[in-house]
Amino acid sequence: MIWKGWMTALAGLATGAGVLLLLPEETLFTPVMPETAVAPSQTGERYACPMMDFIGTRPGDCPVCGMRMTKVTAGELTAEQQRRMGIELAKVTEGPATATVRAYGAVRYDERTLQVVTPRVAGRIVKRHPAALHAGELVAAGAPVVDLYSPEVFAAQAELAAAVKLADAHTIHALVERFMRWNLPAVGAAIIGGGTPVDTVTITSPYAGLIILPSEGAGMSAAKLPNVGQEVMADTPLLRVVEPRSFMISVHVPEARAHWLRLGQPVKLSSDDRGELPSVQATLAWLAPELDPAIRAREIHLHLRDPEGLLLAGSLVEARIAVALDADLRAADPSRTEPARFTLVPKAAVLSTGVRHVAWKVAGRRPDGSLTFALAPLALGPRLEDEAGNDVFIVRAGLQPGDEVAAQGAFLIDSQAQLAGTPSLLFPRGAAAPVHRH
Amino acid sequence: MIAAAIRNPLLTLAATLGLAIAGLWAWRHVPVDAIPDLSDNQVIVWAEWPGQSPQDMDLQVTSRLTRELQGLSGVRTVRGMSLYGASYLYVIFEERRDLYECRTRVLERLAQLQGVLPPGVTPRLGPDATAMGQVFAFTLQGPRDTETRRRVLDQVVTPALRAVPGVAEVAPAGGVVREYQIDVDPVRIEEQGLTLDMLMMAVQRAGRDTGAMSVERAGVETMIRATGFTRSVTDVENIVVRGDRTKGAGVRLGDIARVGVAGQFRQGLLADASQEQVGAIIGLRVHEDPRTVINAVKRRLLELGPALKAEQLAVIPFYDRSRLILETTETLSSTLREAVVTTVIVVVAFLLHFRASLAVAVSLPLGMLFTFLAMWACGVSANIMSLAGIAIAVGVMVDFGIIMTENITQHLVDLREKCRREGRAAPASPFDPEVTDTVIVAAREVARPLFTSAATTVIGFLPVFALQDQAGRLFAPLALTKTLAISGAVVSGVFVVPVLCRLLLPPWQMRRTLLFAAAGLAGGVAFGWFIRDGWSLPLNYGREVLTLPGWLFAPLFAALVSSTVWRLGRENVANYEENPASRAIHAAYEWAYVRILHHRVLFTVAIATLATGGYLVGLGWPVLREPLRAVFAAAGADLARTRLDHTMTRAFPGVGSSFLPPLDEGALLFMPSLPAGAGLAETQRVMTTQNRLIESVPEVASVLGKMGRAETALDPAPIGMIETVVQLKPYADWPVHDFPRDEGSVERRPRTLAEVRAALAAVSDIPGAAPSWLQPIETRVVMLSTGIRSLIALQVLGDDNDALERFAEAAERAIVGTPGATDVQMQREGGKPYAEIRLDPARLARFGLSKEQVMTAVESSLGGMAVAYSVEGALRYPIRIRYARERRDDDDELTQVRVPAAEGHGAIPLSSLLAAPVVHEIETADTAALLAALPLAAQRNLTILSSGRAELTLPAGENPPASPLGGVVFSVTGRRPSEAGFTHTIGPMAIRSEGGKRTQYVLLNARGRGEVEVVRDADARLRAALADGRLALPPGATYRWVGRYEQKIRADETMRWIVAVSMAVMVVLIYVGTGSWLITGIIVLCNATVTTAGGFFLVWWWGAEMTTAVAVGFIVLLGVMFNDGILLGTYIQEKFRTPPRDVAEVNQRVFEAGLRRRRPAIMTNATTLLSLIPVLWSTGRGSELMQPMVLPVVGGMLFDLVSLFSVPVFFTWYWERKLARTTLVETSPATNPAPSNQT
Repeated sequence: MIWKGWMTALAGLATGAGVLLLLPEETLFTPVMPETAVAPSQTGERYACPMMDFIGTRPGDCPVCGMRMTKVTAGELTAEQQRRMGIELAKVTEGPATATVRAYGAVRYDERTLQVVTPRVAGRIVKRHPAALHAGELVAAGAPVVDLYSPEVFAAQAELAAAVKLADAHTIHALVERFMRWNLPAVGAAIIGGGTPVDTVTITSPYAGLIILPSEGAGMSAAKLPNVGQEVMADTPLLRVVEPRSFMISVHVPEARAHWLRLGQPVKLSSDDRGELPSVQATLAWLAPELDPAIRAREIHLHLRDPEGLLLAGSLVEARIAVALDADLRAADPSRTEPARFTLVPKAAVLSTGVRHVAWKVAGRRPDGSLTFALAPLALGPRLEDEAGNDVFIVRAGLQPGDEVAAQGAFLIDSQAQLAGTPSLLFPRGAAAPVHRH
Repeated sequence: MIAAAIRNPLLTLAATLGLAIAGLWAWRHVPVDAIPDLSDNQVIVWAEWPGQSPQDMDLQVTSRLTRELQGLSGVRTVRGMSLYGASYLYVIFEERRDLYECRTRVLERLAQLQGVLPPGVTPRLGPDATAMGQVFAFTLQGPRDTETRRRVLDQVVTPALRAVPGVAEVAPAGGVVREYQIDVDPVRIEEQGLTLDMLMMAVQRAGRDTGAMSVERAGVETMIRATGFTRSVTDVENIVVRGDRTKGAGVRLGDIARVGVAGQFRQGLLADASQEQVGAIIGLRVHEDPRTVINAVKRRLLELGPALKAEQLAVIPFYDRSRLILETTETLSSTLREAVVTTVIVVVAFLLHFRASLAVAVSLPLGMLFTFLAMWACGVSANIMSLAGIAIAVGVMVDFGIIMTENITQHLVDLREKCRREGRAAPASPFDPEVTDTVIVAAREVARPLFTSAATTVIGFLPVFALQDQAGRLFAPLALTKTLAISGAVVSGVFVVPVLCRLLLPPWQMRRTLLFAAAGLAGGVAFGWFIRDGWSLPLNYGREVLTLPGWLFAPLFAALVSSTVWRLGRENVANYEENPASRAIHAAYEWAYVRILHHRVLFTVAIATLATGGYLVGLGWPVLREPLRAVFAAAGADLARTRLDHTMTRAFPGVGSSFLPPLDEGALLFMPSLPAGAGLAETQRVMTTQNRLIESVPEVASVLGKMGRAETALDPAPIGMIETVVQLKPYADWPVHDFPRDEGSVERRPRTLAEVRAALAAVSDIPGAAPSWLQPIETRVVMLSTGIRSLIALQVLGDDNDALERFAEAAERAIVGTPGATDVQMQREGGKPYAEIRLDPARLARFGLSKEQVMTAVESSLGGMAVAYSVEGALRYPIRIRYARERRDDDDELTQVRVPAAEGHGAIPLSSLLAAPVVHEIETADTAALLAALPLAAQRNLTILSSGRAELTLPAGENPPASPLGGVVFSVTGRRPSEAGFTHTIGPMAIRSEGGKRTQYVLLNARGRGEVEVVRDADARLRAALADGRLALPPGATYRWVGRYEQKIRADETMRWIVAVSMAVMVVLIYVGTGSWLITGIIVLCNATVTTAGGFFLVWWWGAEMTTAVAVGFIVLLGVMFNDGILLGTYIQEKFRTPPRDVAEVNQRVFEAGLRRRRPAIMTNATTLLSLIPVLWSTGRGSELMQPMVLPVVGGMLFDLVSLFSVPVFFTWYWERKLARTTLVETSPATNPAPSNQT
C-alpha cells in the first residue's frame, strides 16, 4: 500500500522533470529579459538620489536609502535654480586689449634739464648771494650767485683801464672779448664807462631754475654749496640748476614684461600719499638697450611734467604703463592710432586648472526665464585689464563677442556637469565619477 | 538556602530592600546616552605642517607614521588621511583592549619618532574622545565681529570648558584667529634696496619682554622689567627696518609695507543663514556620562554668562545631545513603566488574586534594579539598547514569579484540602510552621526547573554576544541587560517571591476598620492624583493626544484602587484553575480544539500557507526561489528569465534591509558635497544660500552650517565639505499643512518627518551640490563604517597613485559587463588644481642658486611664514610677512617672486628659474577624435584652437605621444615654452591610505543578483583580464573586494551561525525536555515555521526593514516560542508512557495533557506579548529603534497560539495512523476509525 503511494509520487516527479527537460523554456514560460541583462547604459546618463550623495547609472530606487532617483542633467537651469545658485551673467566683449606694466620708482629731477653754474675765472669767494645759500632756491637767469675776489679779473680790469686810457682799440677789443668769455661783460663795460677796477666780481647764474645738491651715486659726484673764503678754480662747478617741474623716474621692468615696452607708451602715475596723479604727464622716454643681469630686469626712464608741483624729488611713485596689444599679441606701436580689437572675457567667468580653461556660455533662453548653458573650452591669451579696470582674458578661441557667460555660479554649473557625467572642466569628455564622498 | 531564605523573611526582605536601594542608586548614577558608542577602538594621531599639500603630507608624514605605528601589538589597521597641511592617522586596535593602554603604547612609539619626520612636525595624540562623543555644540552670538568673538572664545570660554570634568576637548570652529599680516610689494621694496629677508630679520628682532633683576632703593625693592613684545599693529608698524644714526633717520616697516590685523588662513568656518558664526564643539571623554557632562558644560556656560555679557555675547547651542538623551530615556522609561503595568494587569486578570499578583509583580522591579546595579558595576551605559533589553525581558521576567506563586498556591490549596479532610481549620497565619514547610516544599519543587528555564532563555540569547563590530557594539548591551534582567528575575523569583508568598498567600485577614481606612486613603490619593490631569495617551509622535477627562476617570480609578486595597486585606487562597478567567480559557480552547480536530487537513494547509506566506512577504521571493533556481539550473534553464520569476519578484520583493533602523534624532545633518576644487568663498556662498533655503521650511528651528573642519583631530574634513546641523522644532509646534486628498477634500495635518525631509531636500536642492540628508549620530555611524557608500567596492592598494588610477580605470572597463553589476564606476576624486613649481637645474646653475634658496623664497613670499609672535593676554598670534594679495593671486604675478641671489647681487624672478611646460602646436584632421584618444591627464591639457589646430601643454621633459594615437593622425608643427611658468596638474584634495598604502576604488552595486555572485563573477573577469594581459597590476599593488557588502555578509554569516547554533541548542533542549523526536519534529516543523512566519508578517505589515535589530528580535522570539511546545510536549509524553489502546484514549490523553498546560501557556504567552505591546504603541523618540526588535516577538507570539493546537492535533493524528496501521495489520479489512470528538 505504502509503496504504491511512493511509486505514484516518483512517477509524478519523473514526468514533471521530463516535461521540464524536453520542452523549450519558451513554451513553458514567457521569457523576459531580466533586469540584469540590460546593458549598462552607454549614453552616460546619471541618476542621483535626492537625499544621499549617491549617483547611479540607471534609473530606479537609491540602493542606500530607497528614494526614487532623479536624472541628473547639466546645464539646464530654471529661473528658480539660477536664483539659488546665484548665477550672474557677463557679456563677452570686444575691445582693445591693454596690458599694464607696473613699476615703482623714486622721482628725481630730470637729468636733461641740469645746468651747471661755473665761474670762468679763478678766485676766492667773498660773499654768497641768496641763490648760493640753500639748495632748493629758485634762481632767475642773471641772478647773482657769489662775489669772487679775483686778482685775474682785477688785473684784466686794470689792463683794460690802461688800454682805454691808451685808446688801444685792439687791446680793448681783446679784453672785452675776454670779459665776454668770462661771462662778465658788465665788468668790462663798467671800466670802459670810466669805472675803476674792482677786485671783487659778482658771478651770476646764466640759467633759471632750481638749485640742487645732487647726492652721490645719482650720476654726479657729491657737491657742496660754495663757501666764503673758498678758492675756486676757473670752470669749477659752483651750483647746479635744474628745471623745477621736470622729473624723471628710472624703473626696472622684469624680463617677462620687458618685451611689451615701446617708446612713447602712455604712463599713469600714483603715489602713496597723493593717490592718482592725473595732472602729471609722463612719457616713456628711454629704454635700456640691455637687461640688468643681476636682477633680470630692463631699466627704463620715464619723463614727467608736473605743472602743479605735486611731486617732490625722491617721492616714490608707482607707474602703470599701458601697453596696447597688437593683433599678434605683441605690444603695438603707440604712434598707430587704432589698436587691435580682441574678444575679452571677464576673469570671474573663466574656470581654470591653469592649463585648461572653460567658461559656461548661455546656449539657449526660454521665455520662462530658464537658461541652457553649454561648456565652452577656451584658448586664452594673456590676462589684461579692461578699460574699467577689471581683469579680463583675451579669448583666442572658444567664445565670440556678444556671448553671455556665467560670471558667478559657473563653478556650480560645472559641478553639476561632473555629477551628470557630461564634459566639464576636469573631465573634458565627461562620464567621470561623482564628487568626493564624506 | 531557599529554606533559609523562607524561614527568615525579615532577613531576606532586608537584604532585598538593601539591594533595591543600591539598585535605585545605581539607576540614578548609571551613564545615560542615546545609543551605544559604535566607534572602533581607535587612537587618533595627528600632525600639522602648515601649508603643505596633501601629497607631501602623505609622503613625508602619514605614510612614515603609518609604517611606524603598524607594528604595535594589538593594532588591527592604520587608516591614514592627508589633508592640506594636516595628517590624520586612525590607529585601530583590536576590540576589548583598554583604550588608555593603547594610547600609552602609541605615545611611547611616537616619542621615538623624532628623526623620522620632517623638522617642525610634531605628531600629537588626538583627544580621548570619539566622533560620536561630540555631544554639544554652541555658537557665540552678539553684535561683535568674528575676530572678537573668536578671541573671546579662545581667551574666555574654551579654557573654562576644558576644565569641566568629562570634557575631552573643546574644538573651536569658525571665526578668524587674529594674525598680523605684513603685505609687501616686492618691486617696491627692491626699489628701496631692501629684500624680503631683511624685513623678516627686522621682524624677528622686533623685541621681547625681559627682566633685569631689581634694585633696592631705601629699602624698597623695585623690579626692573623691559617690555618689548609686539602687542598691536602700531608696534608692528614701528619695527625699524633700516636706520642710520648719523643721518638721524630710519625706515619703519609701516613706511614700506601694509600692516594690518587679519584672519589666519582658515581651515573652516561656521555660518547660519545670514552671517558667519563662531562656535565650539564639545567632545566627550570616552566612557563618560554625556548627560552629566552636558549639564556641567551648560552650568559652566551659565557661569560665564556675565563675562560674556560684558562683551555683548551670548551662548546659543546648535547641537545638544541631552535633549535626545532625555527624550529617548523618557520614552523608554515610560515604555518600561507601561510594560510593567500591562504585565501586572495581565497577571491580575489571569490569577484574579491580588495578593498573588503582588508577590509576582515584585520580581519585576527587583530584576530591573539588579540589572541597573550590574550595569553600573560593568560601566554599561543606559541607552536605547540596554533599556530595550530590559523591556524585552519584562514578559519573561514575570514568568518565574508566576510559576513559583502558582506552585506555592497549589500546595497551599492542597494543604487546605488536607486540613479540611482532617477536619481542622487551615492555618491562616504566615508564621504557622505548617505553612512555612508547605511553602518551602513547593518552592524547592520548582526552583530547579526555574533555573533551567532561565538558563535556556539566557543560553539561547548568548550567541548575540558573538556579533562583531558595530552590530556587536550595538547589541551587546541589549544582550547583557536582557541576560541580567532574567538572571535578576529568576533569583528574585526563587528567593524573594516564596518569602512574599509565605507572607501574603495564607488567608490572614486584616481588621475591617483598619482596612477600611487604608482603602479609603488609597482611593483618595488615587482620586487626587487623577482629578487634575485626567489620563492621556499621546499618539503619533505626541502630535495628537487622546485624553480622558479627569472628573470621569478619577472616580473610576479611585474606586478601583480602594477595592483592590480592600481585596488585598481580605483575600483567601484560591485555586486558579477554578477562577472565571481559567474557565473562559478552557471553554474557548475546547471549542476551537474540537473544530480544528475535525478539519485537520484544512488546519495543516492553513499552517503551511501561513508559514510560506510569512516567509514570502518577509524574506521575499528572491530569497525563497533559490532552491527552485537550483532545480532550474540543473534542468538547464534559467529561472531568472521567466515571467513567473518576475511576477513573483515584483509581488514579493521582501522587506528591505539595512544595517540599523534610523533613530529619530530630532535634528538633521545636511552634507552637500561640492567638487574638490571648490574654494572657500564659493563653498561659503553655497552654504549660506542653502542655509537660507532650509530656514524657510517652517518645521526648522535653527540651522547652522560648518564647512571645512573644526580644530580637532576628530573632524578631518577638507575645506569644501559642508555639514549643516538642522534642528527641528518639537513636533507639537509643527505647523498644519493642507494635503489635498484624491476625492478633492483637503486634509489638514502637520507633515510627517519623512515629508519634511523630502521638503528640505527639495527646497535646498542646488544643482551642482550633491545632497546628503542624514541625522547627526547616524552620520557618525555611517562615516565610521567604511566611508564607502556603495555596497561593493574593489579596493586597490598600492604606492603609486597614478598607476593605481590607471589600473582602476582598466578594471572598471573589465568589470562593467558583469551580469548584475550596476553603477560600476571608479571613484574619481574630482581633484584640485595644483600649480607646481618645477625648477630647471640648468637655469639654477646659471644663477648659482640652490634649490633651498628658491624654496625659502617661495615659502616666505607666497606662503607667509610666521616670522614672530605677538603676545596678548594668554594668547600669542603670529606675525606673517608675505607679498601683497594682488601680487600673488594670479599665475603671471606668482612667477615674479623674487629669489634673492647672493648678497648684494639683486634678485632673480622665479620665472627665470622654472622649467616651464612646453606647448606643442598640433595639427590634425579631427581634434575631437584626438581628444578622445588621449589619456585623461593629457585631455585636460589639450586646448583646441580651431577644428584642425590644437595645443597640447606638457610638463617640461615629457614628449607628446607618437603620431597615430588610437587611429588619429596628427603632426606637431611647433613648440614653445608655456606662458604659464608653472606646471599645472590635478591632484587630490585629501589622500586616504590604509596600512600605509594608497587606495583606489571601483564602486559597484548588485541588482537582481546576490552580492556574492556578482563579486565572484566580477573577480573572475578581473582574473581573466589579468591573466591574458589586458590588465596589469602595478608593482607592489594588491586588490581586494570590500564595502558594505563585506560587512553585510559578515553580519549575515554571524547571524546565520547564531541562528543555527540557537536552533541547535533549542532542538537539543526540546528533545531533552520532551524525550520524543516526534514532538520535537512537530514543534520545530510547525511551531517554529509558523511562529517565525508570524514575525515576518508583522514586520512586513508594520513596514519595517530587515535590520540587525529585527534579527535580534527573531533571536528573542526563538528563545520564547518553544516554551509552550516543550511544556505541552513534556506532559503529553508523560501521558504516553504506556501505548494507548484506541483512538478515543489517545484523544483523551492528549486533551488532558493540553488541559493542564494551556492556561499557564496562554498566561505566559500573554504576559510576553502584552508586555511588549506598549513598545509598539510608544511614540516618543527612540521607539523607532525598539519597535523593530519587538515586532518579530509580537507577531510570532500571536501566531504561536497555533502551537497550542498543533502539537495535540498532529500527535493525535500520528497515533491515529499508527493505531490504524496496527489494526490493519492485526485485523484484516481496514475499519478506519473516524476521529472521535469525544473528550
